[in-house]
Amino acid sequence: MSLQQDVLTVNTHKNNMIEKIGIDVRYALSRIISQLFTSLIIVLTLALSIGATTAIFSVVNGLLFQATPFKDAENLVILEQKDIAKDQSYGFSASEILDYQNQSQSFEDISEYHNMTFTMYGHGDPIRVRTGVVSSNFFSMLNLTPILGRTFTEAEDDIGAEPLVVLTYEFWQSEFNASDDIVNQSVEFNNRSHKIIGVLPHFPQFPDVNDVYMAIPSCPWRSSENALSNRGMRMMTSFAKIKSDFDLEDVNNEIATIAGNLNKTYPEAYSDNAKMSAKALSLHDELVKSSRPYLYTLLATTLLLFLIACANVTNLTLSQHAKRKREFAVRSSLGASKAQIAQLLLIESLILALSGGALGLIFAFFGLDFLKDFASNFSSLASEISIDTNVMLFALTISIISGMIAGIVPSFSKINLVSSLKEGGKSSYSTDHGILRNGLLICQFALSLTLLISAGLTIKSLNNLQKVDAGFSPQNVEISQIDLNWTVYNTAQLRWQISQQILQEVEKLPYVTSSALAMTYPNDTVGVNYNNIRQSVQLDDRDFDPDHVLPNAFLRPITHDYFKTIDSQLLQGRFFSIDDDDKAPNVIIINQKLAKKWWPNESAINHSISLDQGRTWFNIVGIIEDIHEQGGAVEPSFQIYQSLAQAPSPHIAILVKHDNHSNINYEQDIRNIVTQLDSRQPISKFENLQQALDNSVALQRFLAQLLTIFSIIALVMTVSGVSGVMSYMVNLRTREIGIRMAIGADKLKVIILILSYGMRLTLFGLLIGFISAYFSGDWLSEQLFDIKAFDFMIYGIALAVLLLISFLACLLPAWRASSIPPIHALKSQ
Amino acid sequence: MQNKKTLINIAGLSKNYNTDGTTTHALKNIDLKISQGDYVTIQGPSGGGKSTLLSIIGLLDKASNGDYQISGVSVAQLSGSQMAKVRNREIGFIFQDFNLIGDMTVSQNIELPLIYRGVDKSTRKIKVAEVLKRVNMSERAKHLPNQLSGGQQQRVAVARALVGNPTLLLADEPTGNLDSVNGDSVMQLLSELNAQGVTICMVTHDSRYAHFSKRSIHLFDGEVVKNTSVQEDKSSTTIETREVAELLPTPTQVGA
Repeated sequence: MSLQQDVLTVNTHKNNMIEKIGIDVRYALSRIISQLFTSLIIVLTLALSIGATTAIFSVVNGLLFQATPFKDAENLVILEQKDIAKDQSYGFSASEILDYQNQSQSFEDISEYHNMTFTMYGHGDPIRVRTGVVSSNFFSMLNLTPILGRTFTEAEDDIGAEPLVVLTYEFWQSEFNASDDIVNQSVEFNNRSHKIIGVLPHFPQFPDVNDVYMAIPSCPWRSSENALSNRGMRMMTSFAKIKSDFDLEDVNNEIATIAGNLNKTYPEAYSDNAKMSAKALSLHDELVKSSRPYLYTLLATTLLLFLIACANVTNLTLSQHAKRKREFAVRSSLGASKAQIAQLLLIESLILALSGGALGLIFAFFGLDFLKDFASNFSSLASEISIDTNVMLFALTISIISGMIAGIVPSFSKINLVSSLKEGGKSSYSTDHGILRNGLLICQFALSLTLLISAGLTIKSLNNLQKVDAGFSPQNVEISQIDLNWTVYNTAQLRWQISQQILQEVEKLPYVTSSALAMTYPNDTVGVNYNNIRQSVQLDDRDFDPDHVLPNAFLRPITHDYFKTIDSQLLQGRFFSIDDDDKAPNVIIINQKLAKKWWPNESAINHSISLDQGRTWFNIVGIIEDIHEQGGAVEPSFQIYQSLAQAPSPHIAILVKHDNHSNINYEQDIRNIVTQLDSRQPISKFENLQQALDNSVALQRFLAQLLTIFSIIALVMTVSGVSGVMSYMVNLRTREIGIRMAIGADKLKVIILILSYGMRLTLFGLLIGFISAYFSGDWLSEQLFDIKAFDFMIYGIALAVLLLISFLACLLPAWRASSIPPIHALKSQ
Repeated sequence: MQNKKTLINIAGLSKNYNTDGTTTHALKNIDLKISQGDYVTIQGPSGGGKSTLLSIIGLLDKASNGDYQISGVSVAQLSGSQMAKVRNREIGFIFQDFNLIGDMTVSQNIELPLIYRGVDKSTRKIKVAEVLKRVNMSERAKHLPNQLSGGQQQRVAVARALVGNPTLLLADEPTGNLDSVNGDSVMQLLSELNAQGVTICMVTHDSRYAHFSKRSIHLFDGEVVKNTSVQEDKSSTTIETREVAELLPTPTQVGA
C-alpha cells in the first residue's frame, strides 16, 4: 500500500468514524424523543441534582477556591495581637503599628485600618456613614485603582493634612447616582468639610463593609494625641503584605519576637499582666473561615444528592436497555461490535446528561442571588460569587460523569444473541443486571437516609438554638438606633443630655409600656463596635498579682428600665434607678456568670469593680441573669452594666416595649422626636428585638432549610427509584408471578412476594445508611449547636419515613403484579 | 366409567376475545365431562382453542359464558383467593416450556406449592425428596433450572405438579420442547400417574402421544368436533414402563 493510499485510508477511517458518530447521535436523538417521558424524567432528575450541586459549588468556588481578588493576595495578611494569658485578641495602637513597620524585615508594607461612624451632611438628609479610616498604602497594598479620581498620597497621611475621602462604588451609586462630577466636590462629615477625591471600584471589604474611606488625619479620633501616643488604644486593624521571599512561618517568628521586645520595652503599656504576642493570619483565610463548615456541609449534601440522582438515572437507563435486548442482538448480528453498541449507549446517555447539566446550570443561575445573600452573612467575598468558567467546567464535568456512569454501566452486559433474538429479550430479573440494579437502589436508600438524618440533625440543632433561654424576652420590643454626631456631642454631658431628652419624649408615647436606652442590645449588628467593647476588670478584694489574670468583661451602658423592657430577671440587689445619674455614686450591675466566677461563696453585692486599674470604683448594686448577647450558640461572657448616665455613649439604641394592641406608628414617632430635638441627627436603623434574635440564627435556619429541600428531592428520587426498580422487576417476573399463581399463590402472596423483595433491599440500604449517617452526624455534631452524632428520635423518624415511602412505592407495583390474570402472566414474554 | 365421580363438568362454555371492536370466538359452546381417573387428550390444530380450554379448566382464565363446575362446585362462585386455593390443592400444571422459576433451585421450585399451602418445613422436605425420587431427579435437587436439560426440567415441572398430590393434572404440550426420548419418558410418567388414579387432561398436537390417553377430544375453531375413546393397546408403545412404575408410590394426602 502506497503512502498516499495509507493517508487515504486513515482519512476514510476518520470520516467513517465521524459519520458513525453522527448516525449514532441522530439515532440517539430520535430515541430520546420517542421515549420522551422517560427522557424528561432523566433530564429533570439530573438537572435538579446538577443544579443544586453547581449552585453550591459556585459559592464554594467563589469563597474558598478562588484567590481573593487582590493582586498577590497570597501574600496579604492581617496582623493580630493576642494576650496569650487571657486568650483574647486585640487590634493595634498607632504606635505599635509604627513599631512593627520599623522593626520587621519580612513585610513589604503594613497599613492600618479602623472603622468609625460619621454623619454626612450637605447631600440631602443627614445620613449615617460607615467609614473606614485607612493609611494611604491600604489601597496600593490591595492594588485598588480608583475608577474616578485618585486615592490618598503618603503626604496625606500626615496629621494636619486636608480632610479627604474616597467613596466606595456602592455608596457612589446609591447616594450620588454614579455622578462623574463627584471628584473634588465637598461633603460635611460631622462638623468638617471633606473633599471627595475618588471613587473605588467594587471590592470585597473586610473586616467591615464601609460607605467611604477616610484618610488618617481626617479622623478626629485617629489624629488625637491620645490615639497617637497611647499604646493601649488598640482600635486598629493592621493589614500587611509579606515580601515574596518570606513565608508565613518566617513572618510569625519575626513578629512574635517583636511583640516580646515591645512587652519588655514598654511594660507600662502591657499592664494587667498582659502577655502579648502577635501573629499574621492569611487574609483569604480570615475572609472565609466562618463560612467553611457551612459550605462543606452543603457541598457534601449536594454531592450526596448528585450520587442519588446518578444511581436513579443509571437504574432507569438499565431498565430502558433491558427492553432493548433484541435491538442490541440485531445490531450485533449485523456486525456491530460491543464497543460500537457501547458508543451508541454512551452517546444517548451523554446527550441526556448534558441536557440535564444545561438545565441544571439554568437552575443554578436563578438560585445564585439567593445563595449570595446567604453567603454574604459570613463573607464579604460573597459578591465575588458567580457562574464563572470554573463553575461551568464543574457542571460540565459532573454532567459527563453522570452520563458516563449511566451510559457505560449498562453496556457491560453480555448479549446472548440466540436467546435475545428468539425470546425477544425475555430474561429473568436476576440475570438482567439484578445485582447491579439492587446495589444502586441500596445506595440510594443509604444516601437518602444519610441526607435525611443530616437534615434532621440540622433542624434539631436550629430548634435547640431557638430553645436556648436567651435571658431576655424579645416580644413587642421595637428598637431604633442613633449614632450621635460625636463631634457635636463631644462631651459625656452633652451625650447624656440628648439621651435623656430622647428617653423622656419616648416615655410619653401612649403605647409604650416600658422604654430604655442602651449602648447596644442582644444581637445588635449595627453597633457591633460597641457590642464588642471589653474592659479589664479589677476587683476590690483582690490584690494585684503578676500571675493572676483579671477578667475581661463586656461593657453595657443602659438606662434604668432596660432590664424591665427586655424582661430580664434580677437575681440579687436592685436595678438602676432614675437617681443613678451622673452626679450619683458610681454603680454597676454584673451578670451571674461574673458574680459566680469571682465571688463563688458570697454575694457580689456591695463589692466594687474598677475599669481603669483602680482610679475609679463602681459599687455592685445588682446581679442579673446571664444574657445571650450573640445568639444562643455563644455562651454568655462576663457582662457589666453601667448606668448610661454615668457612661454616656455616642451610639444609642432606643428600646420600646409596647402593648401590642395599639395601632402604633413607632418609626414616625421616633423620627419626630429625634428631629425635634436635633434636626441634623439621622436614625441609623429600625428593627425589633425579635428580628435581631431571628437574625442571629439566620445561617442555621438557612442551612436547615436547604438541607430539608435537598432531602425532599432525595426522597422523591428514591421513591421514583424504588418504584421504577420494583415495576421493572415485576415486568421481568410477570411470568414467574403467573407460575406462582398457577400453583396456588393468591393475590396476597404475590403482594407479599414483591413487597418483601423491595423491603429487603430497603432494609439493607437503611442498614448501610445508618452507619454512614452516624459518621456524617458525628461530623455535623462538631459543626452544629448542641446535637449528638446519634439522636434516637431523628434516626427513628428518618428510618420510619424511608420505610414508609419504600413500602408505599413497592405497594403499587406489588398490587399491579397481583392483579395480572394468571393466564396473561404465563403468556408474558 | 359410569361409577366414577365427575370431576369436571362443563356445559355450554364459550370464550370470546374483543380486540378493537372485533370479537374472536376462541371457544364455542363446549360441553365436556371429565371423571376421576380419566386421561383425556385435547387435540386439534393451532388456534383451535386447546390451550384456552385447558387454561379455563385450570382456573387460569375465565369463560365468557357457560357453566363450569369442578368437583360439583361452580367456578363462577369462587373468589380469586378461592380459585388460587383450588389451583394449589386440586390442580397440578405441566407446561410446554416447563415454567420453572429460574432463580430457584430444583427443590425450591418443587417446594413452592407446599409453601403456599402452609405445609411445615420438615414435611415439605420429606415430600420434596419423595417426589424427586419419583421423577428420578434426586441428584439434581440443588441445581438451578438452567443447569438441566429440557427433559430434566420437565421432570422437575412434573414433580412440582405432583408434590401437592392434586386430583387433576393439566399438561399443556408437555413434550413440545423435548426430544423424542425425553418426550416418551415424560409421557410414560404421566401414564403411570394415571394408572395410580391421577386424573389427567393433556393438550397435545402429537397424535402419537394421544394414544397414551383414554379419551381424545378434537377441537377445531373452538368447537368440539370429536370426542372419542382411545383404544387401549398399550402394548403397542415402545416404552419400557415397568422400571418407572415401580418407583411410583401410592398417592398420599399431602398437607392440610
